[in-house]
Amino acid sequence: MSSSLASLPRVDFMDGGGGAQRALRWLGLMVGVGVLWKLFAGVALAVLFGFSLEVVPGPEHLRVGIGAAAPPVSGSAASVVDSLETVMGRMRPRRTYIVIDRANNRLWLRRDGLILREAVVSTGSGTILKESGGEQRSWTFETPAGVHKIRSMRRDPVWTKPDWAFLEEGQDPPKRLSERREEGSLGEWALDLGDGYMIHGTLYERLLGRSITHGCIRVGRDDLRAIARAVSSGTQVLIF
Amino acid sequence: MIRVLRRKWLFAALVGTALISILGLLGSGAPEDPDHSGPTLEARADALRAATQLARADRNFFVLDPGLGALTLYAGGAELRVYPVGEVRAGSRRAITWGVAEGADDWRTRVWADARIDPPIHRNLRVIVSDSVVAPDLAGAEKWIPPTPEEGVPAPRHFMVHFADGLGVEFALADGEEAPRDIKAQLRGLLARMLPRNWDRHRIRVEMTAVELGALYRAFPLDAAFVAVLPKG
Repeated sequence: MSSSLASLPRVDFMDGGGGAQRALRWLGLMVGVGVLWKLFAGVALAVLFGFSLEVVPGPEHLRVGIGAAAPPVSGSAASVVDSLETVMGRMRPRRTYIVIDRANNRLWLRRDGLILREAVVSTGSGTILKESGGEQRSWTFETPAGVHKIRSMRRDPVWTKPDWAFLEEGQDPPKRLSERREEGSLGEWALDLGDGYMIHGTLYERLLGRSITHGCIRVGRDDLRAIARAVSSGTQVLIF
Repeated sequence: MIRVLRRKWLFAALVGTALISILGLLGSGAPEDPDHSGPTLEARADALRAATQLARADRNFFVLDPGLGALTLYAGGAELRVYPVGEVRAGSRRAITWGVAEGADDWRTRVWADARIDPPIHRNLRVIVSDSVVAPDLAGAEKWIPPTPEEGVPAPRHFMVHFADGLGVEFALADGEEAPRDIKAQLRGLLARMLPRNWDRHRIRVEMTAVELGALYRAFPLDAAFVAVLPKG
């Protein structure tokens, strides 16, 4: 067996491999040059176009400010800050107020800088409805940003459906008011913000957290009850 | 031959290490304030003065207070939302400033305004057309379920808000926070950063968690002014 192996022609991979070695050497050089070039380019870009950013001391370094144990400051400077903080505090809403984040579908009940309740809600979808015939009206179903107030609160509200609610379903809006009335779909409470916008309940709690409404703010039953208990007519509603 | 290659690789490794060290030194900026002096009272007073004026004018505005670890959004005097923040860095462009918007000298204390977010959020508008007879477009209207905000606009790894006069804020994921990589978005961001209109002269870098970063990105009100409590340099 061994003799038969010995009789086979010897294959030496290095034999005549000068070309392979040269290729390997060139490959190594190219990789090296590439790495160096990247490093040089990185340094050049960082130096020429980068920023020199210094760490701003964070809470762990806090010596002055709200919550600081013993501010090591002069009396006059401290009194300036104190008086300015008092001025800011006076500009806070005095009563409980509602904040709504449309982009994240969140509602907060706030008072004196504290969050009393947080709720997942649904806000306007942004959908545009165009009337194909008739007056060729169009509606954009967005929750309006800005400062609003609760104008009135209704328990077990009955919804008087506007024209778009019928057009959206491919129906002609009825002439008689009684045909527009719908019970139960707004939940236990409707807090009227004016111009047809309301904070109200929903039959579709599984869709809370999604932007799916026609501009109103839909709230889950338990959250709506808590909100209705905490607010009254005149309560500020801040929507962003 | 192997010796020659070894020497070259050794040399390359040495040069590389040296360059990385230089890069590290340049990138790290100045070391942390050793005495932990914190924001000065003057900086806090300046920010509060600006905030009270904005509140009196019923403006929307942010107050970034690294000392409290918070970015707070106000509407007039009312707090809307507090975003917890991690490390905050602030500074100016190192070398090349030609073509960069003229930065105000009082950038640390002034009110930053005219915000522009990058990358901008593109929302797909859904249009439906009513037809009181057949309503063909509305067959699936009731079944349409929109994505959640997190699905519709996922948290980016970082985003920029550019203000007037060459001022910019970079909001980025804090160390150790994970977010899905979007190669297309990263490439778009890289290209956007090369546009001269996006070249800031002064910059604040704010680190946040992925949840807070996403929530801020989706809801950032571009009409809001920006005030920061920054010690004077």
